[in-house]
Amino acid sequence: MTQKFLFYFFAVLCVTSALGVILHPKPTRALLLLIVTMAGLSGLFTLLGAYFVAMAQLVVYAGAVLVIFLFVIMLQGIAAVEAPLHQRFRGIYLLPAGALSLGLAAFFVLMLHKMPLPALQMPLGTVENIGKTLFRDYLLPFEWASLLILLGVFAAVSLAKKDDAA
Amino acid sequence: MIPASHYLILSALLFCIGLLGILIRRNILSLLLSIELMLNAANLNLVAGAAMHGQLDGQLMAFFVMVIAAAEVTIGLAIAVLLFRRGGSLDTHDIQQLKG
Amino acid sequence: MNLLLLTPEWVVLGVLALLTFFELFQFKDEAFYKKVRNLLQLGGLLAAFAALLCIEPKAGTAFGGTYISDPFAAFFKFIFLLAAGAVIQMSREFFDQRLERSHEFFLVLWVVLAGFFLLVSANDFLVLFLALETVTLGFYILNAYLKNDPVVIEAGMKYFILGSLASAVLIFGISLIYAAAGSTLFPDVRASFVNDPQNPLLVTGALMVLAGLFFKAGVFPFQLWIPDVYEGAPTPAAAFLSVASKAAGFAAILRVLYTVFLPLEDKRALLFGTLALLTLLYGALGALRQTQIKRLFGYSSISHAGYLLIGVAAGREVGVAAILFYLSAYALTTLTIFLVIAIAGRELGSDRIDAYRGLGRRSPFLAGIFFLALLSSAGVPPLAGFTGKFLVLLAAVRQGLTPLALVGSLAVAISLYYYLAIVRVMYFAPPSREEPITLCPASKGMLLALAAALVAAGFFQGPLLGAAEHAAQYLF
Repeated sequence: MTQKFLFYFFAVLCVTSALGVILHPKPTRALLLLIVTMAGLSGLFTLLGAYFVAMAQLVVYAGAVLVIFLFVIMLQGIAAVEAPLHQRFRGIYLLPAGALSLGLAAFFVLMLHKMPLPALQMPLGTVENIGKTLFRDYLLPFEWASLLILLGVFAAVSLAKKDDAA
Repeated sequence: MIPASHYLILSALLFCIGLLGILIRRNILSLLLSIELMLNAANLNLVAGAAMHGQLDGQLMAFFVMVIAAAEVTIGLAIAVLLFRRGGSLDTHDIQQLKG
Repeated sequence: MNLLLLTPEWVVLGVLALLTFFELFQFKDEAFYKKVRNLLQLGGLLAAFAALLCIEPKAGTAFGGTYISDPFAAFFKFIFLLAAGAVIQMSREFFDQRLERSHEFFLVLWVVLAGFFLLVSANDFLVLFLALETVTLGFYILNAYLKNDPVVIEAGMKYFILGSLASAVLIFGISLIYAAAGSTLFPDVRASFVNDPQNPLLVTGALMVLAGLFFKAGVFPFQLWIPDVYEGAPTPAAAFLSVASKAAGFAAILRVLYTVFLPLEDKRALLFGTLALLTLLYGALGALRQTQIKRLFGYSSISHAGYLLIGVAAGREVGVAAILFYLSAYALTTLTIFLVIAIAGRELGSDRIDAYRGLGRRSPFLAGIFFLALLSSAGVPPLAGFTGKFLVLLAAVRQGLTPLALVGSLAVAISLYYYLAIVRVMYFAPPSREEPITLCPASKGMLLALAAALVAAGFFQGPLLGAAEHAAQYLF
């Protein structure tokens, strides 16, 4: 019963804040709403037994990545309010855009709600279990991920840095 | 117990909200946020999949998606800062020199 | 675990590490720095080539089956290595008289090359996704590299938004597949898919994965970014994108189609035939009224993707071998074209087609090579491009897709029209300036080698076709 309540609580929280993310005209507010979505997702991860992922979602994703995002927006002063939705595009464009997303959502709901799926078990995603699997079965992706971080560094150095020469 | 399909439906909804965000937003920062939503939807699927099959693999994949999202945010922000320094506008409709 | 199978990747990563380490010294003497960098890169390319030659005949897996090394992957790695070599030379030409720092451009090139290597060897959806992201993130940087040029930044922004959208769709598809199959290893997913071919989760996941890959390969309706990005991006980045990214996209499509998504087999001809038709026509018709040369080749690359899709629609060993041959010929042709564009763009100061007026008189060598490459791109016998097109259309006819082959031949005629328009400007329009263009020996040598390869692969198809057929077998 508690589980059911928690699931629906987090689910509603995620969906409403996600709608806020895409509808709020101010990027900074939208970003804060995305952090709420992340918190809701982290609650769902806990319900699914993924404790470590839930923590990482809060600490690394919401806490570090998105806060840095906010920092850059505020420090650079690049947050501009978007025009209200009805002025942003011609109505003729909004119609198919909405129809596409709604249609896809309807397709997924119809496909999934009657599907026979295995019952949920709770694999214990503790630090120990995660660490063992990570360094045994996921060594190649783990090492390769460092290249992606390296690319982030290159981007910061080559793109965002101001030219001293020019 | 919550059925697995509920989790998958929730994740599909988040994905579609993100997709709608891409279609109706014009500010590059908001577009970046919508992409984050879609990546998180995939994460929820992966973790729910791990629970459906009683393994840890899906949870680990969720980490890698987080790493990629972080790297993508870095590069996206770098490009946004560049755009801002150039013209001051981050609106994709104001940036339309390439056409034809 | 057989770590030696990854030797080509280790070599590329080693060169990257050395180049990055070398940056630490911050040499004041730019000429010395460039000399060391060139030597290092040349050595790295040769070492990777040698490693590939040793690895090529062996087939095996590593890292718990997530990495696969076979002649199919090796065939593509040779293409990537060729592309990397030409693109490095192109970047030297491109940055020659520019004020921008080129240091990080080369570093990112090597990261992207490593990503391509892993991409064609991926035997697991997570590894495939990571490799694809390495490549995509690298290209975000390369495409936006000239940060003082608003057009370049615009191209970078467009590629970034659409590229990350494609990645999001791809990973969502992978997550659906994982939820249904409980594994991301290609053989495991194939087993689940064959057991339950109607499983809607798997079918939807497969289609979303294919959509993400279509973006990389530039297939209709995911081709919209190509003309803008090719026009705006730095020429070497556009060349790498057009050759290596397309090859990698098709390698991944073929790999997942034949080793994982087997139940899609009976719908393959219909799906890919339709896409081929639309892609081909979009590219051929769009190219007709272009005035900017890089944009023109953006459209031309879309129409090349159309021919490759005809090969996918034809399928089986014949179709795959034709695709491999086509991609090698396309790589040779396109690299020649973009090397000429990089040099001409610097000397003429513009990428407009008008600026090529009288190139034939200012530099007969450059114009001659360009003419040859254009003919090959259009598919005029006896050049390599012709053989590639011929093989693909022949495979289509053999599989009963004659209407598709007819449209393909029609598109050759259209492409001949817009290519010859460039030739007319080069040879028959009076030049705006008279002084001749001089070429550096390295570029001259590379152009000669590429042109010789174009002619040789056209006249003696045997060795290349044999290699393509050999590599294609390993997919089945």
